[in-house]
Amino acid sequence: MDTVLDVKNLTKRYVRSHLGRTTVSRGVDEVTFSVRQGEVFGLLGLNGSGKTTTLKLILGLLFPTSGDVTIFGSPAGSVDVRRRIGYLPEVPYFYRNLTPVEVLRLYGTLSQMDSALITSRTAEVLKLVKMDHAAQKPMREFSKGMLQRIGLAQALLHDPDFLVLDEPVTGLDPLGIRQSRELVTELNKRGKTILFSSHSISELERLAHRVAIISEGKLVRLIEEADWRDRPGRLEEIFIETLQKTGAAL
Amino acid sequence: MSRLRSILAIARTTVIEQIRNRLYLVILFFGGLVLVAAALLGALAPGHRTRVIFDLGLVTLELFGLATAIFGAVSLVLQETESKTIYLILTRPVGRSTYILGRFLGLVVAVACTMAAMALFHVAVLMWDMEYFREFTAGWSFARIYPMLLLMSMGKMLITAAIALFFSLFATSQVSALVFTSSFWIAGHFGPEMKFLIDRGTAAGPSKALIKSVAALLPNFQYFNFRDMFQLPGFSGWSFTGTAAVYCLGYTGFFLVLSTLWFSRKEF
Repeated sequence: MDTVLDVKNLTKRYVRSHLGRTTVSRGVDEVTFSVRQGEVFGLLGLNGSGKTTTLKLILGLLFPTSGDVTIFGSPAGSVDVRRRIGYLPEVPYFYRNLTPVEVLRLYGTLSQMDSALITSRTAEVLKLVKMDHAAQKPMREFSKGMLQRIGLAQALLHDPDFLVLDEPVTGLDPLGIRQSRELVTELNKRGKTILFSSHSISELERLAHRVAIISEGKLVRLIEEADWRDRPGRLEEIFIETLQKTGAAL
Repeated sequence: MSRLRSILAIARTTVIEQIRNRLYLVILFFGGLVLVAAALLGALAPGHRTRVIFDLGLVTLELFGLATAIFGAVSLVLQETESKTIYLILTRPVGRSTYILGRFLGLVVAVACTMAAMALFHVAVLMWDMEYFREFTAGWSFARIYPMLLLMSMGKMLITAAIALFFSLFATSQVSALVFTSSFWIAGHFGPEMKFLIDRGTAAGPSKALIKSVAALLPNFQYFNFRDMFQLPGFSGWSFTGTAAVYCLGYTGFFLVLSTLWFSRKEF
């Protein structure tokens, strides 16, 4: 099976200087894992464990202190590779005064789609995330859940091969969570590779093929689906056991 | 080609964002209000009514255009970083220089729209009484000079917006970026005075050279002072505007390159 994402010894330290004092804080430390084509890979960890930092390093929003990230064989952050990635941030913010159709046109153009394709895909993805009724409304009027759906729409617009979803169910109501789950399953069936971070164990349990537990910036355990499948609550047990072993505060 | 398309898409979004922004509308409204006030003030000086409206109007145009440029430029990237809308742009196949150029181009178009709207209003107020207007424009071509004056103001806006954008990239708040930019804008109007003080000052040797280099980094808005020059005998409009255009493009380009270099290493 081909590797879509390869993360090797990824380290990020934040160095900040203020009034002559330099402080160094940990982002992630020597993280290594890979995501295979067609799989749903989950990053699980407590708040502040380093999940979002890992995703930002993969997307080129942060630069690593050391280590390598390659996506489809090219270095992370390279402009060409981004054409094949769809990204949903934890809380997707948009230009408040624009409508969903306007922002999707912008993102479509930036993803090098032609105008006719943008128009047809915009209608498709808005329908898919059940936001077609609000296509022409300014987004300042939207609730958090509605913005999350538009976030998902923009991530899918250019039909990417690899989806990076940061806490995709945050802000969604129970129905939205269910729809989002169905959507991830459907996209995966269509061959999309999905990397998603979450602190919702139940979501990862239902969706992921493999899960990496991140604690205090380190990847402390990699678990295969076979370890928790058909054993409800097992992933949670593994997670807690792992954190206790690593001494993470509980 | 795709790069140009991306620049234009970002610019288009920036223009829409700016024009739908309440602050932009407030600036435009107050600009109109001040132009009306200039017309009323002109009534107090009957002999020079059109001259007062002309001068005050141009100052108003420049100041309100400047306000749009500075407020727009400092929030151009800073606000987008704070609101995290930038994540969804920079994770697309878009180079960081493309992003900076698109945002800047969009701002320039928005500022040009503000100034064009206010200029139309200004011209209408000036032409309200054609008799005074004809008397005021006797001996010079309003149709040729007025657009030049607007272009000169626009040149200053371009430079100021590029400076504001640069400062906003490493400023921690919009206020500090505003203060830095305003200082540059003020210093830019005192180029000859600064040169005079440097030449007459007590500093010598390396310290004088250092002061001169710092002064050379500041913009020199004397290159755009078309208003005080165009009625002087022997004045060459083409030479003046050509020099101003080269200076404007060079200075703006320099700050845009600095901004792009800084921005390419910026983390989000």
